[in-house]
Amino acid sequence: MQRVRFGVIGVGGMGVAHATLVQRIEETELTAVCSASAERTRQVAQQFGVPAFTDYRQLLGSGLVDAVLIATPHPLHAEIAECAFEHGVHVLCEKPLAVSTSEGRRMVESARQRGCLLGAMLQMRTERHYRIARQAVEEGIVGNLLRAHTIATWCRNEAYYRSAAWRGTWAGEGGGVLMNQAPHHLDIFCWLAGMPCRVNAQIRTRYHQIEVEDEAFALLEYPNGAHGYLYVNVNEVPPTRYFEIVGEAGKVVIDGEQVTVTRIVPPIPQYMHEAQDMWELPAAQPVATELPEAVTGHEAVIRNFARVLTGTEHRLIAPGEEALRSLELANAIILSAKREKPVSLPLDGEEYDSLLAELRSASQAKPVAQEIRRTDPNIARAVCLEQSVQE
Amino acid sequence: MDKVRLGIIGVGGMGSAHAKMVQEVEEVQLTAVADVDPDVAKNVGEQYNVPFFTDYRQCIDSGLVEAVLVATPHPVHPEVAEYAFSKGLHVLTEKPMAINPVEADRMLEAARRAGKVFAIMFQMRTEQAYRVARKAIQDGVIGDLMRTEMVAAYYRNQAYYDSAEWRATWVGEGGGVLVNQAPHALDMFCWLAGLPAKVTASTRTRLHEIEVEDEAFAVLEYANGAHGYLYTTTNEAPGTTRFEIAGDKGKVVYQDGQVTIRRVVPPIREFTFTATDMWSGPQVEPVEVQVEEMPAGHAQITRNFARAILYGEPLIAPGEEGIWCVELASAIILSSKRGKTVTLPVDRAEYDALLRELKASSKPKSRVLGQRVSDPNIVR
Repeated sequence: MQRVRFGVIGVGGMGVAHATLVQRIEETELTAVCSASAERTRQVAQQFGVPAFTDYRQLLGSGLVDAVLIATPHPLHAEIAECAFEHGVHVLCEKPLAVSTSEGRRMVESARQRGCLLGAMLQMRTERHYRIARQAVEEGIVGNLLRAHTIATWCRNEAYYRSAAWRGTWAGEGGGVLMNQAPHHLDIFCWLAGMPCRVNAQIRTRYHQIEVEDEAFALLEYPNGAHGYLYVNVNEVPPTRYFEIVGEAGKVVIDGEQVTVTRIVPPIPQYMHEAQDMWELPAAQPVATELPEAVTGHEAVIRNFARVLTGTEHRLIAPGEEALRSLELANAIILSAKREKPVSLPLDGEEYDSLLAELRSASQAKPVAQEIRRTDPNIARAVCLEQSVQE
Repeated sequence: MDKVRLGIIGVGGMGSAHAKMVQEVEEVQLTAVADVDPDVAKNVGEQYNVPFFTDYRQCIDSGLVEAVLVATPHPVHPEVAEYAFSKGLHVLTEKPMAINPVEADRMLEAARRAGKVFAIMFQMRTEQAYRVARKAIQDGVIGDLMRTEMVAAYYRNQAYYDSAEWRATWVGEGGGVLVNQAPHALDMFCWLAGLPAKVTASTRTRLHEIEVEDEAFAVLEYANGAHGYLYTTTNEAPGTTRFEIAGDKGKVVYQDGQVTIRRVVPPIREFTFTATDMWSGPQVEPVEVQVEEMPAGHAQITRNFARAILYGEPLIAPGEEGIWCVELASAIILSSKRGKTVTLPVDRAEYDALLRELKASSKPKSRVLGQRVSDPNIVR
């Protein structure tokens, strides 16, 4: 069996977990690692028994890899991906695809021009409850959208933001909760409800000493006039993860890991004017939500990427152009909030770039007493890596 | 046992259900009914074997009643209540107490002057899950408010709106979902989270042929800066009823009948700055809240109203709190119609002027089916 030779670029945090998976998955082979820190790279390379690079360009030009998994801080994703495509190397990129929509668009365009594959590490799409919801939407159970609603909260403490100079800064991350914690959630939201055409948003820094947002909320309008609401923060415990996708023909609710799908018969607009009895309601029919068990998480995304490359599967779980959507939505929220106006989508990429340039130039270097490089233990546990990820 | 002699004003819709309901409340005796429609007044009067009136003033002046339950269309609540207070009667009114904040003020003033009991039919306050949520919040489980959310989605078909001339018109109701279906949810939201300081909202008419809103949404800001959001509609089936109140010490979530309460230890703000492990979060503990067993529904509100009159029992839903949903609904309509952020309390004169405009623009309906039937779910 042909194995896809993978390099992992960025092995300071999540990258180590990815390297472990790449080595474990049958369809892939780990052939190189890269990190800007020489010591870190040597250590990880030794652990996995593969060549080490401190310059991603050398790795990409080495001929050792067919594909790379990019797990660097997000502002570097775009330049690394573009360099990879120049070398004809395929890219599986951590979320968010990039920090700005125009970078993301360039990545998608370069991949297309070079005939390379660009996939995004949006592993939440493989989770059972989200797959059920997506299937219901694809089968047309929701129908014409009436309302989309989502709330997602996380909790990050100050120690987290103090753990590295890049965290929680405009220069280092290009945003706060919208760029770091929420991309998966925004992706699922766009995957289920589609893209809004108008965003009216606010971002605020309420509970942390950081320059980027720890709270964001937006009123959305969809092309058919439907209303939407989106809220995310890193300030709350216990977490809320809630979606409601309401349409004329049905409704999908995801509360934590619980998904409820309901079909409405007949669809609301038809029923609205047909009903004779003033108190009558259309029938709400629960839809059975059965799905075959499948591998989930990062592993599923890496395997799928390899299989599409080798031709045994034909559809990426999260192609680059779809990952662009959540990036565009996050950018639109920041733009609307900072310029205090409603923003239309598709986003004006240049307008966002000039805002981001302003925000970056105002960004203050953050004193970090001791840098800590450690992956979220929940994610590490999910791939049985707790030990290998800890320093 | 002492009984409060009660008259019901408006027995064409919910009032007829109330006439039946009060038969089960032993602290109350139904002694008169009134309705502008002579046939309706007669039918209900004869059914319960009580005198009936077509003019509420005659009913109030008859000497037959010491308290009234007002179940007329909402724009008439204030004049009936004010008249009743002026004659020294106690008043229990259907929600919303008024559609215009200035009228709500006058009702409260009239009640104070008369020194009589004034209560609102907010029977959702008697439901166990909400009482548990309220108790937890009163016990301080939330701490400093961080975020609120309310989604109250209902469904009404076009036949419902076509069933009576007054329904879903600015003249007849003074608003749509905000003044008819949502008041219970708005009241609950304020009962749990308090009133916001600022409201930025939109109201729209999306799926029905009506002049008032069938959808409303608002971004809220509380006095401490906390963010809130509310959404209500009559366009959705199956409906959603959801409240989320998050604070730095805990969270209360109500979803379609289920309430979940959790405490956070230590409080989030403190934890954020004292934690040394970058991936750690504060402890989350489930909170068990005990409340006294109590029957729920309209009868419980009516019994409590009677017991407040007879024995001074504290009201479940006093008039002073009934104004909350009026403030919130008016702020949403004002914000939407004037395209601006509105600060609470709503400017009385400004809202009064807007309501006049809206009423002046109100048009007679092209078709009215003339069905007078109470919501069978409530009647059951």
